[in-house]
Amino acid sequence: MKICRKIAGIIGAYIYGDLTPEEMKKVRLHAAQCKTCADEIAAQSRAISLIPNQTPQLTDEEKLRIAWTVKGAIRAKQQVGFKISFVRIIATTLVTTALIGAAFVGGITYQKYYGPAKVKLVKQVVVKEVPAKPDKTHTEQPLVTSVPYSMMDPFQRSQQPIYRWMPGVRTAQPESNTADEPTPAMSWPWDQGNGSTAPPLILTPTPSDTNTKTEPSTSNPNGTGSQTP
Amino acid sequence: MQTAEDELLISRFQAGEDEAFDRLMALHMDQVFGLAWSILHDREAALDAAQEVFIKLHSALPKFGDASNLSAWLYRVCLNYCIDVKRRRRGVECEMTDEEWDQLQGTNTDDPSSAAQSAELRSAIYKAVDSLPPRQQMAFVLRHYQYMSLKEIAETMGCSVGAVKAHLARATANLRARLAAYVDAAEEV
Repeated sequence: MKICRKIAGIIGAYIYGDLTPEEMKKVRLHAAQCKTCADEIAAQSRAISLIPNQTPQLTDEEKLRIAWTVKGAIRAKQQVGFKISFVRIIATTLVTTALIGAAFVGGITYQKYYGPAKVKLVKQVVVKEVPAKPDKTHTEQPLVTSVPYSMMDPFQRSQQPIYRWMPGVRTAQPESNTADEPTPAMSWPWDQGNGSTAPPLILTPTPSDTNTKTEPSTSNPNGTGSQTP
Repeated sequence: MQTAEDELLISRFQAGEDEAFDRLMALHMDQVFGLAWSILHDREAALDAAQEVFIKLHSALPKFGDASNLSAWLYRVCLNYCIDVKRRRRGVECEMTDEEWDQLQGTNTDDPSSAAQSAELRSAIYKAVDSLPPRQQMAFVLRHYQYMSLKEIAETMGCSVGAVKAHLARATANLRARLAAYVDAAEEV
């Protein structure tokens, strides 16, 4: 059966009595004039009346069951939520650390290959000219020094390969010092045989004095000042 | 009255009082269960649905904004859940027992022929209601079982009052068509 379009959209609400008084009146007037619509409204009302509109009631046991189940589920959810949040914090920390590390490594790599030229600090090696060590086996020692012999200390004096004129003794002759001719034993003119190597208090000759004759000192302990070489 | 109590209980729950949730559950348990049963026609499934709805309510309560609209929220969540359950278990017969049916119909199953007719009618009714499209079924269930006004139904379904009227009209027309044999029999009687 087809219902007239003017009331088709509100018949359901009319059956339940939910329309406004004007709408109810409108449907009622139409049904009074249209038998098809009146029959349809009656049939729909009977169909609805067949359907029980009661819902079963919850028993006390079922109410308790719902309450306990809901509470248990909420508690379990909270525990799971705590675990998930803990795991999430750990995972977030690890991921953040990994990202920072990757960014750091990436930055270094980028700087290395694509970054500005690196100013390289080079250690400057300055080569100094080191004077060669004098050969101790064969040295050419100057015969004449700028320092007066009288100003030399005993060690310098001992290193002077000069002819020394001492009364009665020729101490050293480097130019004639060859392998064939053994060097005569050195002996200090002031050596008194008591082992003393103290320098004498006498005036010593300078290199310029090697070819000159000087008067022997009066304070010569050996008393050899009168001898000439 | 219940709305004011809902608001008070929600504010107490949000202030940290867990007992307020128990009270809210006790207040709305029957309505939620009734709505779930009217769609699913299965007591156990309706109990499960009520539990799910209250678990969702517990999650939503801390940030629940419109406290005056708790009933509509509960009905909406329950309807969506039940429609979802129905979609999943399509083809499964409803599990309503004879005792429940008698309790609802106010009949007695002592007479065997009456019992057989009753069982047939029961099956036909629930098949007819189950076969309605979801929106029509929502409108019909809320009006027929929950006695809600058109405005409340519109609020729960999230549509206009005119749309609810249209859904309801189509639902009653469909039910009348699906239960035609029983309607004509009742007319003859």
